[in-house]
Amino acid sequence: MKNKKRLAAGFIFMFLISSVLLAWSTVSYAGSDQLADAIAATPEGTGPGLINPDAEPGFLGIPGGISTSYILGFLWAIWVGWIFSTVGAFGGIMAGVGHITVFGLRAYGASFKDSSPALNKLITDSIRVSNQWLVGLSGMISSFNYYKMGRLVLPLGICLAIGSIAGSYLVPWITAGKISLKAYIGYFGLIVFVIGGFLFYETTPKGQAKKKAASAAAKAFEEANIKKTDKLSPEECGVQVKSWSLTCISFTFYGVEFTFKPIIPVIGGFIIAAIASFLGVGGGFLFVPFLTSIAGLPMFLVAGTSALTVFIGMIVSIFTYMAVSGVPIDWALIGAELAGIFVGSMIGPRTSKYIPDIWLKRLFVVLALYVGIRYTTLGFLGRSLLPPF
Amino acid sequence: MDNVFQHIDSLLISLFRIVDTPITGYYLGTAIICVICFFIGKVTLRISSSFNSSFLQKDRSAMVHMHNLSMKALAGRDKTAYTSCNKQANEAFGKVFFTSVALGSSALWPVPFALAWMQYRFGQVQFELPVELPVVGSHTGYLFTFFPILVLTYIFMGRFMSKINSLRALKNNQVYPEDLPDQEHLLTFKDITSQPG
Repeated sequence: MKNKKRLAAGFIFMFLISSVLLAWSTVSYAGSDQLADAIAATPEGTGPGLINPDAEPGFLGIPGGISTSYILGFLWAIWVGWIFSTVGAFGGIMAGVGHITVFGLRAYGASFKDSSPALNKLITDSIRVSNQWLVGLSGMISSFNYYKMGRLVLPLGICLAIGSIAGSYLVPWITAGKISLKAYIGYFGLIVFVIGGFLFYETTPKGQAKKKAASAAAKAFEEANIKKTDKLSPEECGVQVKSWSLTCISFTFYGVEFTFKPIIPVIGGFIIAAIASFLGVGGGFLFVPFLTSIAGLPMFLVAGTSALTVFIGMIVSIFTYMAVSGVPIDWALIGAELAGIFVGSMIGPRTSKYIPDIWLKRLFVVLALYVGIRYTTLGFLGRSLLPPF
Repeated sequence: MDNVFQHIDSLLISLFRIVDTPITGYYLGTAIICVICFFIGKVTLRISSSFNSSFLQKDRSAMVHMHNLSMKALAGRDKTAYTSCNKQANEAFGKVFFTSVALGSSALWPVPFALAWMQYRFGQVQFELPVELPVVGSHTGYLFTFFPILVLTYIFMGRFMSKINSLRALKNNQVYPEDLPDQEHLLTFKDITSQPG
């Protein structure tokens, strides 16, 4: 309750500050911005890589720009929403594939590779931040719900937040306007390989055996009729730090002993937030296994801590892209996609019972292999090894 | 999309002209737009979660059950059982998390459309700040005010709805309802520790 009040007070403070500033402000019309500058720097003409100032505005209002179909955006997002509600993390990857390939933004951005590198890079940033809005906006409500439901391990949360804020700020600050579409697609392909690798591991006999062992142990405990235990004494309750140093913290967690290295959450938070910000994804799919593995924390602590860290990282990243680097995005396309994700997420739970979980994962391993090879070769070799070439 | 905005522009901009003072009108109009987004989002969230409520409850129950087992294992100082149950609970949490991420879009999809219109209408307007702010600079756009107003709208409307009987059904709706009487409740540390005295 106290936290909620602080949160509300924080927002009210932000609102009052912006109100006061704007009440004193004067209104003017923007003469130039990043996009206008990039358009102005592009040679005029009617061919690819040129801008015809008399043509109808297209993507991001660029004269003669590609016309992104909101209907296509909506339909593709149904598929993304379906994946989110069946396989999970791969939904964010498919949202990225939509922006890069399905809506034709890669081809359009690539046409400015030589004639207008600034516009090429601005379109790359727009794809990145659009992905992040899409995943982040829909994750905002659920993150908030989990934050309310869960609890935070404050020292761990602070360590993660330090790393997360640094990664979320530095990546847009350093890379906005500097990463070409080609390079971005190459890195995106590599990450798809990594996620595909995780999915693949889960389908292997070793991965399955590990899962079965955990499941059997949980079942055995359940069937052992949960031995009646004495409740813990007050001095055993909560987190009791046994020893600590810069390299290792040892603590008992309601009587059970755990250890973790404090530098790990900072580095982990930084790396995860940097990857999420660079690619334009939420990062939740990395934070949850990370938190579980570093200290074996209970689910409801992981939920609150990861949700808050993802949310903070996302806000910092989007703010840096848009406010600091002036990256424009197509809001209506995001709206059409969010509506599609909502429809897809309604279909997902109803259809997933007809497809066994392992086959669903195998399907996405094949898909990850295809997308990974195609994007990596397209990005780093300049041409795709898989069709469409 | 600009064609659509041309048709609704006169209606939406009238919300910004309710009062004579431009800056007050701007705030009021933005707040009304946020309230409209809030209600449309709440209605669609209500539809989506009730459409799939049985599936969502099943997933959530699996998550809560495994989590509670892990808490009981912790209380019994059984680290092996705790690790196994917690692993299962976290897997279930991952599924619930991503489904709720997707379903959460049903509550927020009107917001980007509102922003698209704001961009169409106010995209070229820059508010010159009296002082230069670090990172933001000396000018700012409509986003600077839209998001604080949106968050405040969600907070205040949430409180307002809980006071109005006919709106309470919408207010109580979440992606995963948490406190149905016939469900297993999520155990916390308090449940496994002794009460002082």
